[in-house]
Amino acid sequence: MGKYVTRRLLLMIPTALLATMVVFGLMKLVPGDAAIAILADLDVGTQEEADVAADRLRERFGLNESLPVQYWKWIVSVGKLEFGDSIIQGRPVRDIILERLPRTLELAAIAVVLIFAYAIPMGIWSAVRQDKLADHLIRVISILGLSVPLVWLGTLFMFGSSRLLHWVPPLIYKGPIDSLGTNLLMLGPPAVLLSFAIGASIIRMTRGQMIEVLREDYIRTARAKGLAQSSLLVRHALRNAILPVMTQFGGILGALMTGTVVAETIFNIPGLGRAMVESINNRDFAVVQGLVLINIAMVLMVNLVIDLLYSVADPRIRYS
Amino acid sequence: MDVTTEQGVSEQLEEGAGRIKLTRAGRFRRWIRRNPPGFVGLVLVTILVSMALSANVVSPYEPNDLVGFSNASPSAEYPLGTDNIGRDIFSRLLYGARVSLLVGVSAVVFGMTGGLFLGLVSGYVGGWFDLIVQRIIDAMQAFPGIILALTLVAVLGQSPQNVIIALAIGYIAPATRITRAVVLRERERVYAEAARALGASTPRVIFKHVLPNSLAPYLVLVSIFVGLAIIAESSLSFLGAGVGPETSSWGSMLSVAAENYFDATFTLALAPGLAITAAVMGFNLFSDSVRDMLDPRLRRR
Repeated sequence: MGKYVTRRLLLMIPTALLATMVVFGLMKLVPGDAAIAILADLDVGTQEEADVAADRLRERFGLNESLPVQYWKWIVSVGKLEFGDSIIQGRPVRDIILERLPRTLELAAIAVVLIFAYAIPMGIWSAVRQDKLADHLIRVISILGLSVPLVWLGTLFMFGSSRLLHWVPPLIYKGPIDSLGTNLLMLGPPAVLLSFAIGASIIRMTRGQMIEVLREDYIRTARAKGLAQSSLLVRHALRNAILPVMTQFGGILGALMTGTVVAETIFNIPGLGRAMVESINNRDFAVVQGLVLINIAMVLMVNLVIDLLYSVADPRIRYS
Repeated sequence: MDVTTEQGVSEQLEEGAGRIKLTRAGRFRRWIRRNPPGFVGLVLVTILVSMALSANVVSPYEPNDLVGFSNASPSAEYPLGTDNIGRDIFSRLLYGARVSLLVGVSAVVFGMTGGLFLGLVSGYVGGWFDLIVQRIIDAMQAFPGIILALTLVAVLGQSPQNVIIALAIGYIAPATRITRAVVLRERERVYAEAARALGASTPRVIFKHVLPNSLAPYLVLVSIFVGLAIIAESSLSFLGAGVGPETSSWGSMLSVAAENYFDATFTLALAPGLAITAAVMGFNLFSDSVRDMLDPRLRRR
């Protein structure tokens, strides 16, 4: 076990370094550099004076140094959780992230709870009733969920509720401590839509795994023993079927993060996703960079936790 | 002998000998009967393709022209009404099919071809090369969902080409992973060993023997990914980091509807979303039925 954990942690280092290199490289692709971006907003006189001023700024920001040196200095500051300042908001990117992260996490958490509450039971039910009416219905629902884009669900919701019910979710964000009611009214609808868009693939995976497990010999034995259907499903079948579904949660995470970007934009929730879209539109690349790094860190952490949990649950993994 | 009576029997017969021949139309009819969802998928994809091909013929107006009042309801003059600045929704919908199909298909073809080669070589050669490729793939998969594409388009600028590049890069990683896994399994098979024993070179074993045997699961994935790429393109355009305002896209049409939900005409919210859903569902149903045909374990017993 200890050996597996060490190996898994060591493998994370090159992955994280390579990913940060990609982010660094992406930011170097931005046309013009920070010096020109800053000078664009200032009146610096003639072209010559502007060039001198730009050179002085480049010197100050270390932009004249070689790329490996720049990367090294940058990665050290990232290690200290210093992501620079937002040009537009004029405050540290770290503060923006700390302020907005909890809102996105709350939205994602509600969606995940909903997924567990209905997607997994629906997958089980569909497998048990394979090729019966319930199975067909659930399969139709899940293939719909896979095909309907969240951008449409959100647009339809805003349209339908404002035109037919003359109601829209609150447009000004309130924290859960400030006003729990407003908070839930604002986050509830996008979380439900998000869970539908993502839950579909969980339903399909649970169904597929359950169908395979239900054909195993030990299930037949348990059934022959006269075990009640409910305990057979939950204690014998689901236990084995759920593991592969859980490993897929890493993939779901990507869909969840994409989903929060879209949902926050439509429902005007000031979370990380909207910050991402706003800073892209404002070409505020220090913020974009910080947000991408945070997203990567979350993915790496979640995948690590899933892998470790999986190796605890299934000892075969450790020895392969 | 009637080949179409029992599914099991006819399959055995097919495998057994080439004596029983169905005409092409006959085979197609049998496929439809066994796979109604797959047929629906094929129809939906055909509709998408014909919309895209006929856009310049069928459209009553140019997609970017201001042809009437803003937010007009559907009428004989404007079949689906007009948007917030008076462009014809029906014409924009048809041209949007072009963008969805072009971006979706080319992003997946480029990305997955790249991944196919990387996966084949990495899986077959192994060793240091494999280790390095795997770490790069890990790093690429650390970018969740469309975040990488969003950032790339933000940096490169909005255009259909840049969206294709941005999305294609995202499909390299999963395609490499899957191809590598298949190759690792296939290269130990007897036929690959036999080819090696006969003195075939590594590239020859890969491309002549392993590749044809690894193609089927790969094609299922292509179909699924085209659906995902269509959703991704519409999401990027919706968020303002997509094909750009000069190109009519279903995603940007929806973003106009979402921003003007209080006064936009209802077709602007319905039509583009329905089009995306139908197109994506077409590819999903099609890939589902192909996968079921390939995987005997999922077949009905």
